[in-house]
Amino acid sequence: MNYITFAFVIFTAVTVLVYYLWPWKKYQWCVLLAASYVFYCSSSIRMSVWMVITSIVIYICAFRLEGLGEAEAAALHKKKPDGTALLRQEKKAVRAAFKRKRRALLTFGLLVIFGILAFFKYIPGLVSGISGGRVMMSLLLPMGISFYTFQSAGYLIDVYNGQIRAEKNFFKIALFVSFFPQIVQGPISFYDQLGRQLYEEHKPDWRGFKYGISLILFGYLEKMVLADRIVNSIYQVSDNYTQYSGTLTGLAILLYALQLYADFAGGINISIGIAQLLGISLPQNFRQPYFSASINDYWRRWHITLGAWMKKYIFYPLALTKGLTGLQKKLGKSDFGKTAFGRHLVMVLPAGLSCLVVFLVVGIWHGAGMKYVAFGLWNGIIIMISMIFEPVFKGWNRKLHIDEKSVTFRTFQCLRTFLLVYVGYVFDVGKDFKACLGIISSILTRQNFRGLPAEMQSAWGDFTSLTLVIVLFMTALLFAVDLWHERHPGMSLRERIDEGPFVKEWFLVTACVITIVIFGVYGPGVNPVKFVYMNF
Amino acid sequence: MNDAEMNRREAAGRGCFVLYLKRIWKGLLVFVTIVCVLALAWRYVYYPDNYDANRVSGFYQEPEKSLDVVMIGASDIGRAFCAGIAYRDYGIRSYPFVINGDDVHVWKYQLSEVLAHQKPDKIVIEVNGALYSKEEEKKFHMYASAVSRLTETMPESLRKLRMVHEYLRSSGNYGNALSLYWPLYANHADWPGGIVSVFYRIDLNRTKYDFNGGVSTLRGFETLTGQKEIGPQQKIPSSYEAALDPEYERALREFLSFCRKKGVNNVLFIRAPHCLTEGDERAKLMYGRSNRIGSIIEEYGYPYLNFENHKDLPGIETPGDFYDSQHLNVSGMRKFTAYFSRYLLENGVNPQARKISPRREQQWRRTVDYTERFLRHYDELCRSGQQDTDLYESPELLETLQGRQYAGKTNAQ
Repeated sequence: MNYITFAFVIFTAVTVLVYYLWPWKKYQWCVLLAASYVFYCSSSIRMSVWMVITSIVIYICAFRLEGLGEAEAAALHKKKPDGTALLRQEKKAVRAAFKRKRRALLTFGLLVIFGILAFFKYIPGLVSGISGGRVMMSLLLPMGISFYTFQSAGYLIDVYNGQIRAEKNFFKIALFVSFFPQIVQGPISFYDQLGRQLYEEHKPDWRGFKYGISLILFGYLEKMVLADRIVNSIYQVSDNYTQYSGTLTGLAILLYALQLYADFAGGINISIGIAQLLGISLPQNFRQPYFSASINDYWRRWHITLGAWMKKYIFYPLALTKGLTGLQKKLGKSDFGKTAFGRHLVMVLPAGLSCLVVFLVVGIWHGAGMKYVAFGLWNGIIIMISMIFEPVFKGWNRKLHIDEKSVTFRTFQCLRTFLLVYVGYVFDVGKDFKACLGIISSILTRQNFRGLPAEMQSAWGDFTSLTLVIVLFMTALLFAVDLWHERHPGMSLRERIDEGPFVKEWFLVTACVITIVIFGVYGPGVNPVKFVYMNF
Repeated sequence: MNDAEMNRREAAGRGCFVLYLKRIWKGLLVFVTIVCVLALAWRYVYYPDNYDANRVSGFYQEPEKSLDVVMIGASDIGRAFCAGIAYRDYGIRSYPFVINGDDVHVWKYQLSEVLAHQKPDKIVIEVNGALYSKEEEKKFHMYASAVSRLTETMPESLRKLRMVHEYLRSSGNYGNALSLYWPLYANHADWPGGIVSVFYRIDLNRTKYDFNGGVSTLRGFETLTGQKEIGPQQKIPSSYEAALDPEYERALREFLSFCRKKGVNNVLFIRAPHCLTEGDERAKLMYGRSNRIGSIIEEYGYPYLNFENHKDLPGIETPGDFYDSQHLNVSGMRKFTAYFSRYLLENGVNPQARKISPRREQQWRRTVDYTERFLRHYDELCRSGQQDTDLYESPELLETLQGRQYAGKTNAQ
């Protein structure tokens, strides 16, 4: 069941209705569980088995982890046969033994769930690579496997770290893993954020309804009117870049930047909006990413929940490992480490190296292939360099008397960041690593500005003046909305509209619906375009 | 009471009737606005601009109970009988409620529409839509096409919903449901283009029937110029019969029972003349079925005129009076209209008994005038060698017939 189908709209409406009319409020969450599995099984019953397995594994492992924690506490307080308490050394040994057991259990759980993910994501590519393309293995990726795997792993790790208690009810865990508004492409939630909300009783809330519906409408506007309208044009050029000029290819990548944002953010808005209808708050996943001042800032604004997950479970643990802290100490004691730059480097090196690893993981998570590794390394290296040379760059700004708070400098930062992100997008769009390099080379060397209109007409014959007007209008709209949010941090445009006269609200909702109905890409003969991140 | 006060009361847990009433009417207002705008968009921007759609919508423009004869069927009858000539020479006011590729499964609904809006002396049904086979339907989707054409142009009614429901149930094509219940879903991508084109389209749809005071000028008549190559004709005995496809026979019998149940006694079934070209096995099969269908129709007490075996009656010559093997050309149309009009007058059609206002008379006179111009235009095009040019009522054609160059933009061919 695709989001962009009437069936999904009906399904959501029925779910919301049943949810609030359910007479046994204590078990209201069961409606969500049933709906989530109906939603998932409508896509594929076979693939839902893997989600069930993931739920079972994390449930059992978390249960056992907590059991080991209780057993450890009991063992530490246990008296020796002679009635005396355990000595410090003995307690240390007990703790180490239980820690080994807990770690083994955690490792087992993570290996199983990530193993399933790796199997579907990387085995086909590996088999093809090893056999030199002679053996082709085709495996359908279970919908949302990355997202529910990460979410489940986060839950298990939090239980291991003692941050949360293990959930005793298996079905509640099953709901946490499968919650349908976020299963397709996130946002990825932490258990302490989402779990409590899922299981508590919710009453219908007028404001929640209004905000949810307005967010859903905006999401559909982004996805159906903009993203789906231009997606074919982009890949037509990028997949056949050798037949087109570098200028047109560059323009296609620019459109990709727009399409990807509209597609992903649109889908997330729909997800968050649906959850809001159910009285559940999902975390924000985008915060005006194209207004970022640096690549670091960009990754704090783009796919925020993935970044948060990586930070919590990879970045911090890695940065605090003995290896990196040892290196930090060693460097700090050296002569270089006593210089001003050296002192700065000592401070940022663990974080920089951790970032590099994190982005390597992010790249590999996107897919198996050199181009994804290159994507990850590109982002990781840029961040590392920016962290390491931050004092140098600040020094240049001081010498050049650049006001870092000025609008001009801010604009320069945004454009610079966008350019760096743009290069990263090439690695997204290209078929493979070689094609990505070819595209970059083409953009830099095969210019055709004068002949661009004719080339566009020839390549994108169906890109009519109407399409252009719609694309420009939607781009302006997204920019305006993002600009408003950038200028009013912490505030919501929806709340602002709600405070205003009803006429404004009425007009916007009506205009939104009519624009989607008339200009949306859907209907007979149109295959609903999958969300980009649905394939992850 | 403003929103802040309402929210305060709500937060305090106090129920407030006015609060909910205000929210309900706000929601309703949004919903009604959306529905109205989309309905207007459909009516004035998206309304299909093709000869079928224009012909069907023209039927609904005819004043209530003003028609003496209504034709139901496919293009066979649509091109064979000309309302303008029938009125000019015989005083018969008629209209072809015809869609290309019409199918027996929708006759029930077409007949119901006719009975709901008109009270004609005769309802003529050309039987082509009952002569298909299931294999043809799988290949060419005539039933689906007929339902689709009608849903785009019929006014909203329960009858329309039942027609769609029956089609979905019998075909199982539930994937098409939304397109049929809500044609805008299927056609929303047919946006005219730029702002100027949109205004032209709105203007076109708004003023479509202004030329003849609110009704169609040519009363649904349509034809093509020239003639396709028609080979030698095969000789088939007039007694040759071929069984109807079981599903189509079932649908036909269901329709005939429906007519009987409704007490509709003024239905006349006909088979328009066609060519029976050598080697054309389909034509032979259709011919055989058109002979067989007569006995089924007569079982239910309805008359059936089979012009396949009686081309001589109107004086139709083969192939000279045909555009192609399925359709008469203008020469054939003249002969057929003349003969069939006389037949109708002798068999229950009495235009004198129907009183219509001077304004309606004036509209019919304009129809006659423009039909004559249309036929002269047709002759000119044929003399100049124009082949296969589709001629049907459009703003461009009317302006041409008026002697003026059309300056607007339409999707008309």
